[in-house]
Amino acid sequence: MRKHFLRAGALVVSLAALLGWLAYTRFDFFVPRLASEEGVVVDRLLRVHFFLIAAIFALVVGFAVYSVWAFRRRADDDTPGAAIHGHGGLEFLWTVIPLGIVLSLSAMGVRDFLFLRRTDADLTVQVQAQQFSWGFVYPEYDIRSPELVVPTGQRVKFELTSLDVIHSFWVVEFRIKEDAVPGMTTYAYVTPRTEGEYRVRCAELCGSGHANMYAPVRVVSPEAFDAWVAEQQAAQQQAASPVARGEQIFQQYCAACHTLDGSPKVGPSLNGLAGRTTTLDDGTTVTVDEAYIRESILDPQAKIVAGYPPVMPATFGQALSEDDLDALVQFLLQAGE
Amino acid sequence: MRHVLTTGLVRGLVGQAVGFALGVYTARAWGATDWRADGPLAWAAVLSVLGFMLASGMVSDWLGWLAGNFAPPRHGAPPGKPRWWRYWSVDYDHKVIGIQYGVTALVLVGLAGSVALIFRSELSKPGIDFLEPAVFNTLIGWHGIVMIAGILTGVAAMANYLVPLMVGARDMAFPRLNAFAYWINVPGVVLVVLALFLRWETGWTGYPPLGVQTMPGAIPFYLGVFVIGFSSILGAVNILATAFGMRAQGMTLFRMPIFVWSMVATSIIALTATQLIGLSFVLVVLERVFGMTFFSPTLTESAQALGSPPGQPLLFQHLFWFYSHPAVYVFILPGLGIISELLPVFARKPLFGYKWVAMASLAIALVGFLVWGHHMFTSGMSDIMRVTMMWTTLLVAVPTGVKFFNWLGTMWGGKLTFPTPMLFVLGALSIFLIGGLSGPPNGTVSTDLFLHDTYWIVGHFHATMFGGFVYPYIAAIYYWYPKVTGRMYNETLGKIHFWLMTPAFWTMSLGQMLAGLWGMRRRIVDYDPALGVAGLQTAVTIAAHVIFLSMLIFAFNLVWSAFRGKVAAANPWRSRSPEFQVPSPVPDENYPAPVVVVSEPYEYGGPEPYVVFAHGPAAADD
Repeated sequence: MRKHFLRAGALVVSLAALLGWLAYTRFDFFVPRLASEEGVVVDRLLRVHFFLIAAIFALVVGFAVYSVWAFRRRADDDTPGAAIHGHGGLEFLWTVIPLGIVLSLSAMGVRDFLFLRRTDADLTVQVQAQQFSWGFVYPEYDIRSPELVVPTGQRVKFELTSLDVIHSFWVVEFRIKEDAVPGMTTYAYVTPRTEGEYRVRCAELCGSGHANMYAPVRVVSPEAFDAWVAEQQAAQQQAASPVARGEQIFQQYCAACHTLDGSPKVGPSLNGLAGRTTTLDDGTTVTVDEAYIRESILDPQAKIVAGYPPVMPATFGQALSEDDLDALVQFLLQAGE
Repeated sequence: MRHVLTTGLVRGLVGQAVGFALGVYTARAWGATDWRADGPLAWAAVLSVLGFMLASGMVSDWLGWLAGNFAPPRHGAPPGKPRWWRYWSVDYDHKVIGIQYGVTALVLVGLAGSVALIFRSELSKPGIDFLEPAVFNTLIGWHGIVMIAGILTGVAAMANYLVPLMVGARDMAFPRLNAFAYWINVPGVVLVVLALFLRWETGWTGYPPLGVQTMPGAIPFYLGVFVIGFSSILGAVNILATAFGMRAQGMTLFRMPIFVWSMVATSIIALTATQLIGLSFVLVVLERVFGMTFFSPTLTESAQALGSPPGQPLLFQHLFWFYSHPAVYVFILPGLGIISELLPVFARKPLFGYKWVAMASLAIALVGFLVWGHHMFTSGMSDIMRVTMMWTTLLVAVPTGVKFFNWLGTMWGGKLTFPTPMLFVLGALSIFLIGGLSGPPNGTVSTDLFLHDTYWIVGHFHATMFGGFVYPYIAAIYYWYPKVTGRMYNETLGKIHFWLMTPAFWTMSLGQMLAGLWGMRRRIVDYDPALGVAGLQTAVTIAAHVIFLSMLIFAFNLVWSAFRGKVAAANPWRSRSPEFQVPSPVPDENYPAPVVVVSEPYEYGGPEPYVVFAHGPAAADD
């Protein structure tokens, strides 16, 4: 038995060394690009996890594979296996050692979680989720934007709300994720560290447009951020043309489900809408005019285009101001003409 | 054909259709214009279940009791019916019910697996190729819930067939309740099938407010799951009563076969937690039908008319996961019991640390009740709850580890042989290992903020389900196949099945986990090519098809061998378990005489058998 233990032990140690080395040194292969200080903390513990997985995997598989090979029944051997019933000391050890490991992991988890969730922040961004779009409000600067722009090195507090169903705010490169729940405000904290372009991706199934519920993210230098803020504030002073404003609203609220190039997505394409004759699911036809477009935005279930599911949210009346709605309708009336 | 029409199944389905039609008709008469509206649909669904219950014969004996007719529980087909009739009708023999459960489980798992191939093919490359998003969302929810129903019936199959045999009893404690618990699944599954056609978009978790707003398929989905839940609760009562009250003479608790221990632990969970998912789903139905706002913060017109306060979406998640987390232990504990049961047979030596393995099952079951919040680490739940649930969650790893180490101890120094059941046991061990080891990163709250709702989770739970249920269930089917049918399965086909399925599963599982780490979210019909996961998705899709192919070989083997297989000996595995000491297939009433336990269950090489049959008159209390 001593011989077997030594051999199996050697197998376990070499397997653990190989896998542990891979998990530890090739860590970057396993995780995506990192763009936040909080992500550094997440990745650090994830690396510990990977190392433990490699070690315990090697331990179990090493002994199992060795047993399969060394203790296979030889031909014509009809004797029973060794009459071992158990071993109190071993049971004690393999209860107490794993207990120590998981308690340590929990302690590290608490340490990291408290660090991630500490409430100091340099900048507040209100994230407003709805089917199937994101909006970002910067209360300190009185800016509303379809794009999330954040400066490096500043801890951003995200205040998450939802107009309709549960969504989840996630930027892969930031690592951190938090649900946006209707009826309450939830919080996430991120300190961007790497400039670049990323995406907010909804991580909680929220309906037909869930897969494409994206918003663009730009991490910029503090100077570039200040410039962006000034630019946005100036732009909001001077009213843009309704059509240009409408296009921006389309990109933010509609593009997850509708295209402008004639190809269907979750809903019908919206190019060349004005004057088009459309067949509805009850077989009737309707000619598209301003009143029809307006009705379809505010009360989407009133008329359903044949061949499409009745899944468009009815929350746009809440989300869009009267001016925004006018601008969107103006944009759609001329889109793809 | 005449006989087919008189089976309980066919009569029940007709009764269900009649009940549904009656519901639609009365709703119309009361002024409903569209039967797919929430109210009429829920009403028709409820009537359809009652219709099935009355027409199938599953409550006939109880109704007879009301009329003063106390017939003994019926075994076998009535006079004038062929032998197969009993398998398609209400029968009170636990072995028949076990086979009914077992075949139902294979059918449900097969259906849910086929559906998975459809959406897996959609995901093999980026872009929306052939599935409308609403259909995709419906299919993933359907895959999930039908797999769960399939797993629950598979667990019940093993429990029903094996527990009475293993404790040396003639039948379950409550045979009529046993039949009821099986048959109630059928109308529930029919409702879930209806949901597929009416569509709903929440996935199997049914979270409101989306669950309140989505398409009408949500109604039969919620009600179907509610109905299926009765099966778990009532089945658990029966298992506990049988395991504690009907053991053979001399079978102390620590001389029970280890599988019975795992079913005791499982049944404690199923008996006490299943109500919570039923409750949460019924509350959503009430919210949809009557506007009784429990979960939606924005009020519908009817809710405003009732003066309801706003609902709380997180309340649903607490109720739902209070069952649905322990439920995964309902799925895996029986499977782990099968591993513990089969390893000693194929190692020809005692189960290492029997008492520790038995107590580990109970520990998993009890700790499992305190960990539900890890499904809500990103839900907006309070930070203190998240931290608490992390401590409890990681504790589950300790008893699970104890099981693994005892399995290694059982193999150590054995005389191992590797027929198909043993291969699947070893496969289960390896897959459950990676399923278990991928748990702590998501159980630790800080790293879960990254991993939550990604494909890492998809990989993690498919590995736990395959390692904890699918592989052990397949091992159990191969192992007890000769006992059930009296014939041997084809060993070559069994080995082909294993060697196709296992590398494919490993590919699928690792591919899913890696895609998740790279940023692939769960439950999306389309993904961003920039993540670089397209190659992984293609590999996972191919692997899934290979798994399906191997399951077809499995199905062929089961059907073909039932007719053409070699006639099996009474004890092909030289097992000490009582069911292998009687002929194959097991005779009606199981044992020729009362079973007496005279030594330990896994004492391979020991001088005494585990059980003997008492000769002479039956004991007075039998």
